[in-house]
Formats: sequence, C-alpha cells, structure tokens
Amino acid sequence: MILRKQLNNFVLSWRNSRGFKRTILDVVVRGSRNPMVVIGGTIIIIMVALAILAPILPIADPTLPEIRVEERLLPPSERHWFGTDNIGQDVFSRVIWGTRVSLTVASLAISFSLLIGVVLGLTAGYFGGKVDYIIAGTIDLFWTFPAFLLALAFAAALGASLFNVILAISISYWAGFGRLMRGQALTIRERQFVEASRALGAKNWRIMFTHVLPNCTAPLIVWASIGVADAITIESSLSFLGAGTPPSTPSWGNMLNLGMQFIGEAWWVPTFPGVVLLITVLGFNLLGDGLRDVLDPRMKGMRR
Amino acid sequence: MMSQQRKPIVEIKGLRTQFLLREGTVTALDGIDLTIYENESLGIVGETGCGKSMTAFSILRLVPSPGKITAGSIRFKGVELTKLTEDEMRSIRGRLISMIFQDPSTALDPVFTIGSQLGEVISLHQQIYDQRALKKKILEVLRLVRIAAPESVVKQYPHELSGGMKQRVMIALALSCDPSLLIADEPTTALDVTIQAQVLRLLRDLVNKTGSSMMLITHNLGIVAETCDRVCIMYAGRIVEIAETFELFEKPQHPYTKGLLTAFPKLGEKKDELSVIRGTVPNLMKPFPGCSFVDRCDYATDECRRVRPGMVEVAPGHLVSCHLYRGGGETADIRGTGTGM
Repeated sequence: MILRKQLNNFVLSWRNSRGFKRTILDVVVRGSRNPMVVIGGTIIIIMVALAILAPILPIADPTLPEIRVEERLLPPSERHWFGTDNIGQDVFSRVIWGTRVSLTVASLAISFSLLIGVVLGLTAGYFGGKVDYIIAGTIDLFWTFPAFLLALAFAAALGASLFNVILAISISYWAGFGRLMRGQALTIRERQFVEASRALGAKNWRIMFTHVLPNCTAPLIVWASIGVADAITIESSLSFLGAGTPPSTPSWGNMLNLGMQFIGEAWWVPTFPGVVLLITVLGFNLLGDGLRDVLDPRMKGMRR
Repeated sequence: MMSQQRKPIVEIKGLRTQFLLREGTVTALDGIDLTIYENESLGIVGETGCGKSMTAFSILRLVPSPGKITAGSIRFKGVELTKLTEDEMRSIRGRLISMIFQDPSTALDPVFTIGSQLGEVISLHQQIYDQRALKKKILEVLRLVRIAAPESVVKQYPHELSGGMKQRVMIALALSCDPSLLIADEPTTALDVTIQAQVLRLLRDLVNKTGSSMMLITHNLGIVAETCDRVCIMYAGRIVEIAETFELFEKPQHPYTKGLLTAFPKLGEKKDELSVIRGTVPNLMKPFPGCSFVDRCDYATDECRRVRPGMVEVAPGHLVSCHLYRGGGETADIRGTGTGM
C-alpha cells in the first residue's frame, strides 16, 4: 500500500516534469540557430548512423580469417576507398566498424561517470558537513590524477576487454562530474525555492532530485558532450598503447597502432582512422561549446 | 473586539533558540511567550535581527544549522512540536502550517511550470493522483488567489510572471492544502506599493474566508495597522509588547514601541528630520541580565540593568515587558501572557 503510494508519487512527479521536457525541446530549437551546434550535431548524427548501420551497409568484411597476400597494403582505389592494411583488410570498412566501438565505449563510459558523479556530487553538495567532507575528499583524490594516466593504470591492471576499458574510463572520469554537480548543488541549495519546498513539507530526496538536479541540466549537458569527446580520445589512446580494446576488434586506436608500423609504405592505414577520429572528437567538442553558448543565459542575444 | 473564549492555535512558552558557534553562543530568541488564536492575524514587528523570522522558523522547526531550539515549548493545536519526529513534522509543514517568503522571484523553482509546482504540493499532501482531479484543484486554487486566466498561468514558468503574480502563486502554494496557520515572512517587501496593498488585502480576505490564522512578519508598522488584529513587538530576541492593533497605536507603553511610532513619519506632518532611536542593537552573543533595551532607553534605571523585566498586563490583552509599569523585579507571573486575553 505504502509502496504503491510511493510509486504513484514517483510516476506523478515524472508526468509533472513536462517543464523539463520543454527545456530540452527549447534547447533543440535554440541550438538549431547556432552554427557550432548544427555542425557538431550533424557530424555526430552521421557517425551514430554509420555506427548503427555498419552491419547492413554494403561494405567489405572488417575482419578476415586469414591473410590475403595479394591484397596487402593496397592504396586507396575504387574497390578499397581507404586502401587495405597489412593483412588485406578493407580500411574503410574497419573505420566504420571502429565507429561502433568508439561511440559505444565513450557513451557508456560517460553515462556511468555521469551517474556516479551526479549522485555523489549531489549528495555532497546538498547535505554538506561530514558527508560533503568525505565525498569531496574522494572526488579530489581522483581529480588530482590525470584522467588518462589513471585510466591507463586501471586498463593495464584489469586487462584488455571492452568492458574493462569502459570501467577504466568511468573510474578516471567521474570526478569531473562530481565536482561540477557538487558546486552546482552548493549554490542551488541556498536558493529560496529549496527552503520554500522544505517549508511546504518536501523530503530531502524529493528536493534533491526534483528541484536541485533539474536546475543543473544545462552545465551537465555541456560537460557530458565534451566528456564524450574526451572519452573517445582516451579509448583510442588506450588502444593505441595496446591497453584498450582487444586487437581483434576493429577500433580507431588499434588501427592507428597498427598503421604506425607501415606509415612509410602505406600512409593510408593510420591516416584515415586518425582523420575520422579527429572529426568525431571535433564534432562533440563543437556541440559542447555550442550548447554552452545556447544554454548560458548571459550569452543570450550576443550571437543570434 | 476579542472574545474571551478564543481557542489558541499556537502556544509558545519560554522558547529559546540559540546558535552554537565556535566563537560563542548567539541567543536569537530569548524566552518567547506568544499565543496565536484561531482565525486571527498577528503581526510581528521588529528591526532586522530581532528574531522575527527565527520565531517563524522555530515554529516550523526549520531553524538553519547550527541553530537549535534549546528550551521552551511550542504547542500547535495541543501537539508539542518540539517533540515530534522529523517525519511527523514534515507532514505538518505545508499542510497544517504553511509559509510565504519574502522574495517571490526566488521562492519558485525556475525550471518548472506553475502548474507542476502546485501539482507537486497538492498531490504530496492530499494524495490526489488523478490528473484531471489534480488539474481541477490547481485551477481552483489559482482562482482563489484571483489570478486572471489561470488556464494559461498553469503552463507558464516563473520568469514569465510579474512579481505580484508570483507572490499570488506563492500564496496559492501555501494555501493549497487549507493550512490552519499561515506564516507570511515579509510577503510584500519585494513588491511595489500598489501591488503590496493588493497582496495584503488578498491575504486578509483569504484568512478570513478560510478561517485560518496568520502570522505576519514585517518591519512596516503601516502594513500591520492595515492587516492585523494584534501586534507583537520584538526586540533583540525578546517580546517587548503585545497588544491589539488599535490599542498599540493609540497607547504604546514600552519606550521602544514609542520610539518606533515616533520614528514613523505621519502623513501631512512637516518634519525636517525624522526622529530616531539612539544607539544600536546589543550584541546577542553577550548574555544580559537586565532589559535588552537598557542602553537605548531614556528612562533606564539601575534596576533595568540588573533585573530582567517580566510581562506586565497594563490593560486587558495589553502586555508590556518594562520596569516602568511595575516596581518589582523578575516577575514569575508569566501566566498572564498566555491566557490574559
């Protein structure tokens, strides 16, 4: 009975979050007027589409069971747009399949980081005191390590597998979201509407998740977008160093690593994955920067 | 004006709220005795830092940390609030005791529509989960506070409304569950004068209509004269005088009240300089044995310095805390405070 009441309550608060949905719609509409958001968004949409459609696109098999000696290191041609690598695999096809790996790893890693960072940061900032002392200390501990080195250490220790890469990136990256969320919660909990909802009888968790969190969506969206770009870079760097995605799976970092050995005789093997990596990271960074302009009320009206 | 049989809704006895800081203890409320009756509006007047808002927060048990209620009792409809658990207290807040804040532009959450904020409170306290019933109730409450076109206001965000409209929405939020006591903490300070008058009239009408009581906190005596049945004057964490509004304005007894009233410019009176009360508020960190007003009082005697004055009933329902009205020292006759009216 009580559980059902709670559930009803929860469903209701979701339905009531129409304002939140409208905020997102508003962001889309205003974002469409910002060139950075449009360019970044287009790049991301194309990349996501390629990643999803990879299995049904009319492209060569990205992995070959055995070496095809006659097709080794062929330069770009009509048959192989981006050429072939040292065992005769089609680089174009591998780049597209690599998109799948990179985007999956990056988005999952950022989702986990967001989840950990938001929950811990919100708790720390909202309650303050001893809770804050402990959580903020932990955040700072993780924050002091360069994210990449920490990820490298974890990935090396855990061994090469996709899941471990995601875990390593999440562990090294969540502190940023934690800091952001804690800072936001610290300022928002002092706003009068928090006091007002307390005076109207709201519970702490209700205030945290239905009043403090929705007021932080703007910076979180921006940081998440830039975070995905970072995560793609970290994933590729880990793979490049051999600590990331297992070599059998096509990923941009792996291909760069492999291509480095033949850069003199076959420039296309490392170049194309590198360029696509650059464009994708650029896309997420552009989107993040653009969204910051769109979402920052102080920037409103400065650039139409 | 006041009948003898009025039922008290809130009885505060010897309430002491203190802030335990590293530098020492600040006594924000120093032994408050106050009764609020059913269906009356009580004004609480005093200068900044005298404990007006702290009294309100103490009743709601929302004293900001490191503040604490260290002594005294608050009985609400016979229930001792200081002994309730946090959960029990939460079900009282918003439903039985509600509060309106000073600045309506910050008291509403900027990212939600008016409708969803009202819906949250109503569904939480009244367990209305049916969307249609909820919507009906929301519109009903908005109509109660005389908002024109409530159907469109429901879909609007706080920044799309004017200050007066926002304060009406706040009042709607506070009144949505028919509370027995409405605490209004300087509800009109952030509004301009014409809107002030409208909001105050609305508050008074609603309190009369719903039969609830109101505690109006303000530093503006004009507002009190217009809106309240009784007035309580506070100074440095203590109550110095309580009387019916008319009586207080006609026959102020405490030197501080007299000072306040003369400092208030009257319409049609030519004055080059407004009169002031000399001196400043005492440091609340240092305990004072005598009267808190002693350093600023023109009639202060040696006794005022040593002995804290008790409450003296100078006329029916008119209580003053001053040695000028009784020769004795600390009087134990506090009973007169609660039931004398």
